[in-house]
Amino acid sequence: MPSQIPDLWPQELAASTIVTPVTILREQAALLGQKTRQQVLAEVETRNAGEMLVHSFVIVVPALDNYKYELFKVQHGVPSYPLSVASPGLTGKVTSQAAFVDVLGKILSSENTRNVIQSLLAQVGT
Amino acid sequence: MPRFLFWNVAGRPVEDLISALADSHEIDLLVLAECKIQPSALIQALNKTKPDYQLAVGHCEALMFFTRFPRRFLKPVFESSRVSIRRLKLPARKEILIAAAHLPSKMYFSEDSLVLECTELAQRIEEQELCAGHRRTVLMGDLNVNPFEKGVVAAGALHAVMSRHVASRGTRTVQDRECHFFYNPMWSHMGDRASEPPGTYYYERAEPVNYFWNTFDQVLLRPELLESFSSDQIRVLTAAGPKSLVEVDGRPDKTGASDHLPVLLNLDF
Repeated sequence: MPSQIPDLWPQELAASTIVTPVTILREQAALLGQKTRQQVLAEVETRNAGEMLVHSFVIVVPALDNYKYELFKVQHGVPSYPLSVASPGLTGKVTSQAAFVDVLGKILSSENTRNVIQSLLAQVGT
Repeated sequence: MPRFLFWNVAGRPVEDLISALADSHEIDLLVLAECKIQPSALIQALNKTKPDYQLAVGHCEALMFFTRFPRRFLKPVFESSRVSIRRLKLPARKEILIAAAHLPSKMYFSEDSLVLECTELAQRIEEQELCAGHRRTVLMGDLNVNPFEKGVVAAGALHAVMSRHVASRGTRTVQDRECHFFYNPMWSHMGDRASEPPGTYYYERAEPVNYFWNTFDQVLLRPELLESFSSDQIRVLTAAGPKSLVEVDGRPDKTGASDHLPVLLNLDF
């Protein structure tokens, strides 16, 4: 006998356009190797911290015995926003995906990031 | 026996004091936090009498390393803005890991946030111990938490205990997870002792709970390094050569030196 209760789920449930913070981070991480002839790479390491997820954006240098440098951290719960960003020159809360992409751009193009990557490339070259 | 010194110099221009400390205690590895002195000026001060010291370059902006041995013996393996973990391989000695940290201040980070910082630090150390294939690790730094606070004590965080007997068990199992111990010899250096100050940092304000003396600057050791270690191989220093680092009341001299006192470790390995 069919149920008297209608389908209560929303129609748009499967058609989400949300990109999670970790996906955005991983995409950016994958781009670094291409720019450095795979000499300096980036990885996203995720760990649980209580009810929060912490994503570390880590620079890795295979030729220096896999030396790692944590460039910045992102921390969020469920839902993903607001999230906290902690980097040497830029720390604070971000409330939307657009704002996160904006902050990420600032960190990745910052002087500190350039200095670290250039210094590591120089060490690999020596 | 190699000698290590950690000092948070609080951004003060104290190159002469650093040089006097290095000289009078024949420091082999010097780790400085909050050091705004140009490395070139510091190298000049350290090498005033003998050209012994080198800057051991890294990317951790919170810490500076100087060595009296060739810097190639001290290789960075993990760094962040506040942490530097390095492998130290001196001739005729076993390799050890040196983890140094300057964790965020209690003025800006809550107790819970500092527990998370300590937990992350512990995880980074464990990762590097796994890579190195041993647990001969020394952690030194300004942790901004006392030896009795959760970030230092909790399993899953630094898991550092006051008793070498307990630490020598190596691990304990908590919720089906094996947690490795650190030994925290700083417990023996808190409160009134005949020859040392009650802590490394003094802070007083008008609120009900106030420890006055804190021991934020700590040296933690894995049990693997305890065989030839005794607690008097760690000292909280109050003088740099002839110059005092404390005021007449025994508190750190924040105008002439730093608001933190240096910690010296002699370690055979």
